[in-house]
Amino acid sequence: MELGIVLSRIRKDEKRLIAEAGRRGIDVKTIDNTRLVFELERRHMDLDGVLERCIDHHRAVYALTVFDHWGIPTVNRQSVVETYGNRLLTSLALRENGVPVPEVRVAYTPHSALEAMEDMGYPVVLRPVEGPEGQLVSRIGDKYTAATVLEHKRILGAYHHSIFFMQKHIDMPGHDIRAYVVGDETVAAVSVLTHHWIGTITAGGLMKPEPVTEELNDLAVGAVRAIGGGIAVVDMVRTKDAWFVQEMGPPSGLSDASDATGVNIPGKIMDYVADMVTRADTAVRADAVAREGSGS
Amino acid sequence: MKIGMLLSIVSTEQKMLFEAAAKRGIVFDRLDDRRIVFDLENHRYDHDVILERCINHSRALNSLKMLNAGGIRTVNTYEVARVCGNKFLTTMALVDHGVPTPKARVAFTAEAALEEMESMGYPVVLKPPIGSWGRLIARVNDRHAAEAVLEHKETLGSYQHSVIYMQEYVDKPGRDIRSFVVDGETICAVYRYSDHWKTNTALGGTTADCPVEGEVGTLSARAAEAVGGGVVAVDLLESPEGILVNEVNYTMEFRNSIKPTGVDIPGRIIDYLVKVARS
Repeated sequence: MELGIVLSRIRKDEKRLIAEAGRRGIDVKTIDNTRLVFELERRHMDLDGVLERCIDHHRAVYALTVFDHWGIPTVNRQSVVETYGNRLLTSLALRENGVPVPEVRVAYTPHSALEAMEDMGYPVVLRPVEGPEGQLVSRIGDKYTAATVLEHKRILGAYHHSIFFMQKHIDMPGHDIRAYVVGDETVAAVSVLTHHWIGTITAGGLMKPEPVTEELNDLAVGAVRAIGGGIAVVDMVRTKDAWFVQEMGPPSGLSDASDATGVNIPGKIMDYVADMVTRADTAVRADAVAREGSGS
Repeated sequence: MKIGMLLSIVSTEQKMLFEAAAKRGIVFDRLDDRRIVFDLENHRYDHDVILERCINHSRALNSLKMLNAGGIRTVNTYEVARVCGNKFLTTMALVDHGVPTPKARVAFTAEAALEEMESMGYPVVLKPPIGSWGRLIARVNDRHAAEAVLEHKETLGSYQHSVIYMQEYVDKPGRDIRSFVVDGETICAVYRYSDHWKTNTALGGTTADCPVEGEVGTLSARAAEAVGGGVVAVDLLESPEGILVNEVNYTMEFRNSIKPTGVDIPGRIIDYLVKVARS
């Protein structure tokens, strides 16, 4: 089996994934996306499957779109990456599938956004629709802050900052939980302790193992199924009386989470990838046999 | 019947659509995208159909997604806007459906793109995958031009510009063709003449009727089907090897195409809206 890993840089996580592939007898071909050129009218790569490990979200989505059109099975699937890379698409998919998410409003101008926030009541969390976790996430406590932040976005922001994605602030008890979901199972979970209201590791949070209870597993797996299945990180918050899924993202921070929990997450991912590629291959072969049969 | 129009400003096209609707006894419920707030908990929309006429692609795309998720039918659909609004996705859809289109390449860095352009041979057309009115479309004639344009993109562009879409340059006869497809039928087409290599009427240029019998009509309908149907305008190029589909537009302008073709484009759009509303 030849597995392509499309990536930007070989970081700690990619090294572990490649080592786990080797242990399973999978040939890995790393595809450096900085050198990659796709010809759109013909398939010019022959691979049994592709694992996406790009840093840049757009590169990931474009590359996966091409592999998908070429009929090469990918982890994750293009539509899944497109969804978890966009907070609005994630929120809609989760809501549609009954996964609890914070209240959301969307507006396109500073004026309409301000009106929406006044109507929702403060604090409101303003997030870019796309962009890395934690980046430019602002907690807006009053009308003056709202007007200031909106003005900065309008004057300084690029094109995609003119979609105002407003979320009702959820008061969390000092930590949030990241669940690592691989297929139908939450393989590990960590809680991120932080003194900052943005409970992310990038904001200086500390990781601690979190027991995977049935409730946590159901919520995390349900969230991943809602966006189309595969492998993902689910960021959840637990308040006094309820759980919410805050956002979702690509499976990053694998090494740190593995070290914190003692679970070999890269190994679990490689098992999933190998299984997926084998299943896709079997399906293609069965399809070919069926076509041959009907043709004769 | 409740028919909505999502719009940014009342342009000539919008006025024509209002008039065509009024003739059929329909008054549009106007939804101004500068004022609209979508509340994901409460879908406040109960329209039978909403026609999208935003200027800004991201407003159109996000609104269509939220409306469709709330069960509201739209013209066009989110999927059509998603594919047509992105030249890379359009190429993939056309290739998948066997519709002839100029050769295209995608790269993610200036170095990879430069190397590829050298091997494609100049001129090469560089296009932002997302963008309209011919903005930032560059015809690159040699290596120096390629280096200059790529450096500007890398230094000044937002991260949307980190995807470099390259297209072979098609030597066309001083004109291109824009056709209009409504509900699977190519209703009319115009030749667009211009001294500039970009024959966009937004950039100036003149138009004349182009017959839709034969290849122009068939190819346009196939291109529309490839992107998901609805109401679209198809840009066609007459290359020495035959007609190629260059782009498909999902929120098109049509003011300059009514007189030369004699086809009531806004009227046909309204008739289609009514059909969707009743379906």
